[in-house]
Amino acid sequence: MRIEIMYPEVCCLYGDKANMMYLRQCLPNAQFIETSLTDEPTFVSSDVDLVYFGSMSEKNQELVIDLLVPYKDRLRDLIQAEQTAFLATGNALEILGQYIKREDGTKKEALGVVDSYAVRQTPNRFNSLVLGRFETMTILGYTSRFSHSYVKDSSRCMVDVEIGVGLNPDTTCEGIRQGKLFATYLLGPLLIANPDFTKYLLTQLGVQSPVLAFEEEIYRAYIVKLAEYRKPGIELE
Amino acid sequence: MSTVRLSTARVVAKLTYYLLRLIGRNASNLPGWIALLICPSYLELIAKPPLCVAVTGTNGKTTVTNMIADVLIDSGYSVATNRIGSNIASGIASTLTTSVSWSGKPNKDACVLEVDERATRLILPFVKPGYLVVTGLFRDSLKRNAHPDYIFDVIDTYTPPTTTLILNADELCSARLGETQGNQRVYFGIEAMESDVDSAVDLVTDYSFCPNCMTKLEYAHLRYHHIGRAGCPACGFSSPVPDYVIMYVGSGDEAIEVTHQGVESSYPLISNATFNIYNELAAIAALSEMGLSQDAIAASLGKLGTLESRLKSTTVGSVSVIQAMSKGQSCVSATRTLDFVRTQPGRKVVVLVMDDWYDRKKSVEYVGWIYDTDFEFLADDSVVQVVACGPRCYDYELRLLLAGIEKERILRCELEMEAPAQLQIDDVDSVFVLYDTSTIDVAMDMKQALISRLEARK
Ligand SMILES: [Zn+2]
Repeated sequence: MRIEIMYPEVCCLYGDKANMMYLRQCLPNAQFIETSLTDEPTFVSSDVDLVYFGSMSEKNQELVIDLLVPYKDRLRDLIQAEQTAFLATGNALEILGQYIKREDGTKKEALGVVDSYAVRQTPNRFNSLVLGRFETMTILGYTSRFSHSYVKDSSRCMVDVEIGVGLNPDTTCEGIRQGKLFATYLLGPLLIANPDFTKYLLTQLGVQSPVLAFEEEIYRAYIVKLAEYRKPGIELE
Repeated sequence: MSTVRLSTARVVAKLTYYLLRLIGRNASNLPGWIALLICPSYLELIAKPPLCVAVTGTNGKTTVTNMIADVLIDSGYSVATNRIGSNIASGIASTLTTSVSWSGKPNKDACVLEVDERATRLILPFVKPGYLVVTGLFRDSLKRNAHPDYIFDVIDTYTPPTTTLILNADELCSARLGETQGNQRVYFGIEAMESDVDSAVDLVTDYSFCPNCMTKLEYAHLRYHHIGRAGCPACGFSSPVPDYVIMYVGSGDEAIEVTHQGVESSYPLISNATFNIYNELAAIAALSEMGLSQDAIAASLGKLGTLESRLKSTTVGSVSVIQAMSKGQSCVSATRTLDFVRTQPGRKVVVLVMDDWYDRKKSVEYVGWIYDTDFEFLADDSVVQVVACGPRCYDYELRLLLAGIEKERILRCELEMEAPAQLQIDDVDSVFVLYDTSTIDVAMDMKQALISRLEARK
């Protein structure tokens, strides 16, 4: 199995590197490829099973978009073929969308592989705990960002939010799911915080009856946190 | 109209200040808050002392502010400073209130202001300090500070073009401040240290690539995170040349030699922790630029005493109980503390009490920052046990397991006060209690309970 970590030197904010740190433990025999800013992405010319994008600064979002624009057709083809899985956490979601509207009203054209657009509102920082349903699972996490996203087709929502907010304050639609692409504003250790989702992702990668690293401890932490998130009157920020 | 508002604000703020002082209350915030309420342009309109220096940065700003203020005072300056007060607009307004007379005339020679990085937006354009010292920019709380690029933009946008920037040449983010506006910039840096490392040791190394051509930077000298002397092998980009430079720091050194314009001067070393050497160097550069002589700075620094007092150590029998401050939500601060702990001699127990005290009451703290923190430093034979305390202990347990610490060495205590009775004290030389500013009280209680247990064992 081959897993490509995109631009780890910039896509590494907010503890997002926890995800690949953990996946390495779950998949000790997989090959992890770290693609630098000066490298051609591996997915361009050969098959990989999972491509991961982590959170980055707003300045680096624009840098990463510029680097990936030459490959956006390839990206779109891979997403449509549903062979390669894609995972994007935090504001990596926005680079996959149509455009990012900057604070001054100008637009940065993005990769356009999913049907969303983002609007930045720096310096207003938006923080929230989030809990919701994804298929039969409960997903929990945290979002912290300067922007919101908007989608036309809400059937592409990844998580239906119960606690907290979705892609923007007026929707319970959180994240975008398109075949094997999972893009979510939830950031940090998503795969450590959500063992059910991690198992699901592993099955998407072709792992039969997946076993998680530190499975006992990870479920214990998950169950404790589920109860905490559901406490009445909890402050979300 | 603005004159009336200003006078009213100043008089009310001064009255509030003296009243609060009279009843023994903290007067570092409220007077300024009231002044800004009465006169929103207070920071701009109030008269400033002839010498005004501001200090900001992720870490070390309190240390540098205090050093600059102490040296100035020792050199005979009258100084207004917010050393114990708030570092946002209201705190700065309070401090400036104490630097003018009732009639509004400056009655201090200098003001030395510690300024919160994000609050620079509301302070610098109005106070217009002659000097701004920036200790460096690192990742900090994601909720408030997002990331260093954001903080850079805030400081860069709101620093007046007339302000002279005193910058760390070895920290490539803040080193680029003032480039667009063309501020006068003065750099400080360290060429080489005995403790330099060959390759990146920390999980977080922001600014690992060249800002011009994206090539991976090469470090001739690397300290921690992205601190060191860097260069781009492809395009020639490099760390700025420092105006105040220490050519070499040896591990046992008790003095530093600072070269400026070809002249080498000696200063007593106040702390040998690398980040504190940078803090002292920042203060030396700033004070020199303000016109103080090398002799005066060195003599005053010599009277300050060491900075190691934030470690409170008590020894019972053969076991030392050491409290070490480790700011929560701040991976760089925590990593430096963990690095310190691992280099201490003997067999150690490390107690983590870093959960946010406010979040736990009403929310669920987001602890993604622990994955940017080098808990791998604790996967060392000298660390016999790591105790994860507080409601987030289950998250810490996972982090510690991922760091390669065996299950048997990890103890979870959801209730902190259970830890002193349960942690290992046999065959242990020291117990380190790592606490956040918000958990200092519980850390003190834990330390006390542990001392009682150790005394009962004697
Ligand atoms: Zn270069």
